[in-house]
Amino acid sequence: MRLLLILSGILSIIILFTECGTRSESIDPRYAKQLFVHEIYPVLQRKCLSCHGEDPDKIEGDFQLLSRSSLLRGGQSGKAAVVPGEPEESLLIHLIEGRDPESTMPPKRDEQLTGDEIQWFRDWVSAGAIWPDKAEQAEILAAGEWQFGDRIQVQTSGGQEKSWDDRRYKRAQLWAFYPLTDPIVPKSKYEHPIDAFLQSGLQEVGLGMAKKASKLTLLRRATFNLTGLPPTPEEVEAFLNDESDSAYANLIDRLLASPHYGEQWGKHWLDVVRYADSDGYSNDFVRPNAWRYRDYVIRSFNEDKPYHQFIKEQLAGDEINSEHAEMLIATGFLRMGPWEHTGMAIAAETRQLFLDDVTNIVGETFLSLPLGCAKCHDHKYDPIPTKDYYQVQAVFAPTQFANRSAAFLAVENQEGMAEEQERIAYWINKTKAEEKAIKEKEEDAARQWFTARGLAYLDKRTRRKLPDDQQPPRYYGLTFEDLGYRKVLQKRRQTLNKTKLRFEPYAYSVYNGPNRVVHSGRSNFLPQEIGQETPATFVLNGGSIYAPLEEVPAGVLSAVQAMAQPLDGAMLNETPNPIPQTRDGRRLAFANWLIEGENPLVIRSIVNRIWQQHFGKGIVETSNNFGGTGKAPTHPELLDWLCQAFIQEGWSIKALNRLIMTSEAYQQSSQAKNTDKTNRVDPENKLLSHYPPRRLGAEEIRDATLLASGELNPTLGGIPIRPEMNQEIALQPRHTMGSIAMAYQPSTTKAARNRRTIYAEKIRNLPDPFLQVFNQPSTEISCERRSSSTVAPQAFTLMNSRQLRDRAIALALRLEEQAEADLESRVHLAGRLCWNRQLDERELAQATAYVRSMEEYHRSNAAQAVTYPTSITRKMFEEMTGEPFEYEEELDVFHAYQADAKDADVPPSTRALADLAMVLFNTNEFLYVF
Amino acid sequence: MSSDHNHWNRRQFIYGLGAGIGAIALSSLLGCETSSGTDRIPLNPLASKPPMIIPKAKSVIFITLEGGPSHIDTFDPKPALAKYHLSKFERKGEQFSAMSSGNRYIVQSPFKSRKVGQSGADMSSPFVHLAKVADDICFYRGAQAKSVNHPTAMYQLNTGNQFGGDPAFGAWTAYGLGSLNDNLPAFVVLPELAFPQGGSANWSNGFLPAQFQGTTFRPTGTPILNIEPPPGLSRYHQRESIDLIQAFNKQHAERHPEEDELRARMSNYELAFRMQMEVPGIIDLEQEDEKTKALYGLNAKATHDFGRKCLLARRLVEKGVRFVQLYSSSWDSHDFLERAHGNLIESIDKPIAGLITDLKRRGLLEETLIVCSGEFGRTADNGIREGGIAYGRDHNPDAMTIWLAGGGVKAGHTIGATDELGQEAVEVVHPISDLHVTLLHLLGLDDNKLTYLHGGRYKQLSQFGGKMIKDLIA
Repeated sequence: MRLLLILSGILSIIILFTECGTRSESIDPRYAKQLFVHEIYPVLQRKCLSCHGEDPDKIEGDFQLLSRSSLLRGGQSGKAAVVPGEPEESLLIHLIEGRDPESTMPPKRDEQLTGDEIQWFRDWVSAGAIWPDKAEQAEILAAGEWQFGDRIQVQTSGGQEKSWDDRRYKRAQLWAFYPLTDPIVPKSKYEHPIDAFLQSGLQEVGLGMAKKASKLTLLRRATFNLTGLPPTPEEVEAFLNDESDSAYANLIDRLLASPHYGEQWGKHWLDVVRYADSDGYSNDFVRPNAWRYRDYVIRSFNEDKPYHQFIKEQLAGDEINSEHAEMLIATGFLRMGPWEHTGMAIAAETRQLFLDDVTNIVGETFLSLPLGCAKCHDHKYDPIPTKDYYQVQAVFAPTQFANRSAAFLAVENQEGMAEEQERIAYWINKTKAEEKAIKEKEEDAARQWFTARGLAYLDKRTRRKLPDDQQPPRYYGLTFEDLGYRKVLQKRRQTLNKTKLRFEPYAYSVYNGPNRVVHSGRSNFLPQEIGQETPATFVLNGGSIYAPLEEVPAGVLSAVQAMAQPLDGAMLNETPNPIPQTRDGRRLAFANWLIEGENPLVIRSIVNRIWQQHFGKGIVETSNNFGGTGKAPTHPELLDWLCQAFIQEGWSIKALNRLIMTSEAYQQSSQAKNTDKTNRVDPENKLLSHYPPRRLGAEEIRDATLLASGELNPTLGGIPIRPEMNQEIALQPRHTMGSIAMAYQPSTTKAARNRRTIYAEKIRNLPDPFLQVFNQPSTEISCERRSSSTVAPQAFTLMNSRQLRDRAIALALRLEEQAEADLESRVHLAGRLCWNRQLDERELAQATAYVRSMEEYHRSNAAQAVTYPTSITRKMFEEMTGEPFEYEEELDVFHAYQADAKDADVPPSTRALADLAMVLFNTNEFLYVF
Repeated sequence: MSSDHNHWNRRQFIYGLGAGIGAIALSSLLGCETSSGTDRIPLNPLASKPPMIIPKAKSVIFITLEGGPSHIDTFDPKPALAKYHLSKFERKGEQFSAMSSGNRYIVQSPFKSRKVGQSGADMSSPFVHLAKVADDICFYRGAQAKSVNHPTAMYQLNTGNQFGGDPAFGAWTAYGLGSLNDNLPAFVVLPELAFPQGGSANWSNGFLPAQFQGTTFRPTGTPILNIEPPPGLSRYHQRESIDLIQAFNKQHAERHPEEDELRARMSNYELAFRMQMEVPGIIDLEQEDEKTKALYGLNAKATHDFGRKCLLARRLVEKGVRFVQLYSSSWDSHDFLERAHGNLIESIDKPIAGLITDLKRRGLLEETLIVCSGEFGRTADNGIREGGIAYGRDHNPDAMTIWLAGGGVKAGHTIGATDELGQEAVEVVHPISDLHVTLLHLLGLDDNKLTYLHGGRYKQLSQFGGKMIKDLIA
């Protein structure tokens, strides 16, 4: 494979582009020909010919774009598409400019022409719409002297179409592929390099940074940012009283050292990799050991594991050391996507779904390039040929699923396992007993059937081989209800048998081997014997396994290799394929390729993600997509400077956190100096003239209420816990294949429930509505950045949900316990716990008046007791009858449930304080960080 | 999440529902007009928006028959099956799954079929009431799904993407057209007793702003989660709480005058309060007269549950909800086809006929698009179950019948055809994406323009574009 980059000269354009229209006399025909070859024809190919050319069976509007004469002839409208020399008279120009929105061409929004492209078409038409013949086209291409808009050609492993190889890319579009630069910090009044870079951008539009934020604002900002929790009243007091110069630096150090740091920053990573505790799809089977990967991620952030190490372990931990539990756990990354295989599916297809998923997610996660775009065709915008897509896929071709033995580590929290294990055992026994009863019923009936005919009883397996008239009919002795319930039990047993693996030392992991069929409902341990073959990888036409083309080796992205070489226009060195073709070691080699030689995409990707979590948006807004369809960096030099700093600090994420947080930019107020001007010249605050405030994320909201109420159990890690979920959703039947899933029951004890939200069991088909409504992302696709919308159900959740009411009552009880007995003291404490500050006189007056009024209300309105059902009637349609049938399902947890204090458990005065707590939880001051 | 910020003037998003990202999205929706001015961006993203092209219908009632109803035993009779009944069948091709392996045999339909209406549509005998409105229906036999599995096929039907995660059809519609009622969600889902396989991702907003997510009105309990105050608390009590929240928020906003989003959250509380007042009245079917209730079959056990949903759908559409999706589940008849399909058909027959009749007499049928579809059709052949012959059918993505009624559809026609055994569509064959393009068109939306910038690509319901099925349009 020859990889080289052709740089065809330097910007050498003389032609004047000042206004539209009539400049045919000023355009040199030679230039027009070059324009055609380098710009016009590639656009036709990429955006037009699929409907107007290549396939004679699929010509739209009877119009072809294959030759100059077809352009002059036009299509079914009867009008010439192009009038040489007259862009204003040319229908083609009208169509691409979208003058009539009804008939813009190309019709897909995604393919509509850019301003530059439209201008080229105008110029080309102005110059006479010259269409050189094939020979001349080849000649022009070979001459290579064309350089308009600073374009380059990138030599890759080769497109499916020869013409794709001839494509030129705008340099700016390939920014992420270029080697890292080492920018010089601009001269500035600011000491901190970050500020110096930002300042130069602000200066250009006449803006400056905002004044410094107040100490309290800064404390709250930094604490939420690094730990996902608000500061406690003690922390507020300590920080406000610390007048030393190092107070802020010490604060950052303290927060970076907090074990809650890993929970907050691990969560960002889990968003990208789509962490969940279940498979999704039909059965949504539990992934019993996935939690160990979640804790591995949290640990890695807490330990400040160098990012290169973190990459290696997740991609190839098993290849690094399969004896080390941590390394096996890390590879859970590869299997994080939704995936299921059942008997109903075709194994080769579900296998391919995994391969496509892992190929794409590896690109999105580590390179910020969604590789899936190159699955069915060469990438339309980036220099990623389909061949590269499958070469990267081949890296994962030997990767097989297994739950591998991996002893629990000392750092892993095994709390609560015994109790959960006991519960599952109870359920397994109960389910088996019920199944046995149905089986006995069927066999009793069979026995009678045989006896009535004077025949000897035969067990089911034996009698099924007999002719129909010599055995009882199918399902003899069973009702349709029995049949329906039997399926329920069968699915339940399967689920429970998977769940019980949660308490055993297995890692949700992989190994290298030949393909094997893995049923989602089974345990899927490492096979005793691993066969010899290595699965081959083919380019798949249109992404279909039924249309394999050439076989490809395991490899890397050829464009990244090509672009890594100096861009001096010389013929470049051939780069050897860094991936071995052996079965083992492909992933490790791929990981090494990612982290060696300062792969610019990888470093820019992570640095940008870190920046995003400090400022709400990345320097590149599309943090999963650095390709041509992503956004350009707002501060490319700053980004590269940060990358260099990141490398210097040994790929330490905490060092980068510290670097960013010590900048003035991070510490400035959220109020711009000149709001009107800012709104005019930089309404999106791309230049960071003030600190962007944000609403708390879903988990932060729940965690902050738990911290305020004093209920938060700060224990780290362990098997998933289950907070209370809205009962209607928790008990809502959910279809699985042939059955409905067991009800969601919360953890029995308060201590287990009141853990941080990151430890809540994440069931793909049962998102917690409390979290979902506050934009917790879905687990199907990678979430590069959370959205923050304002919708009515948020108000319902915060005003009416039992979950928040429970927190409010707990907070009320805390106020009564910890504050002086007078109402004002209690209200003051509520303010310190929820708003992290002292209430002012007015607020105090409003709050106390409200509490008094509420107390009066509660005195005349008795609270209703809340009860938890210990059993629920399940009703479902049975597919064999099309009729609903019912069965009882036990809600065992509620037999010995440690419920939170409810309204009915507390006097009116406490209820009134709880009302105030609800109000505070609902305020913007609680829900926003400034 | 990414969106087109180019033309965003944050000052304009004073109104609540969708400040921030939600509002921005509209600039993408308005396509080529965005450059001409931000004044086209409505203050409320759920506000009713003008369609892109002249619409044939302004709202949708999408009846989803979960599990894969058999086209052969409903609207696409295959008399040839009788002559091959119980004869062995061998599946060709490379695919291998539980459903194509083992002994297979042809199964004839347990139902008689007959021609109904003036148009002579095919309908199996259990359909008694629907037969009376057959001339209002356009039957389409050419659709093909991609997946042979329930959740993936369902995701494709609902979101265009068989792997889920993308916005549902209803969410796209809400995004494109907004709501005609400020106090109601634009996209309402009436699920079956159990949520379908794949769960709530079937009515997800995907990458669209959250206000376009389908809101489930559940058959029991409160219609919208948490819409009722906790037990023991009254609205009076709640009003006082909201007043204090608003007072605190107002004082807080004065300290942060630059943040419009804070004010958006404030109006959001008022909207929530209004919804609390309005929704209970809408779902109160007691407001309907007895005759109407009977028309939908509310007075009979077999039809009561689905009848309620159909009647509720009409009330919601009447009140300005853009998209109502109804689920009927358990159509997965691998066995006992006659009994299972027989019962299921009975449960929906009268309610749906009632819905069409009721909409028609109120003059609403013309502006309402009714779609009825499963995630796939079924095979003509079946396998062995429990050691014996099972009279049922397996999943079949290659053939299905989808029917449409109301706004702009070619009523009284049967379009497309499947082969002799009903195994595969052979005439007017289109993928589901083309159906989506067609349905959007009927609503006045152009799939190619109804886009949202996400992850660097303008995404659309059809995924990669599609063709209109012109044969379905009147």
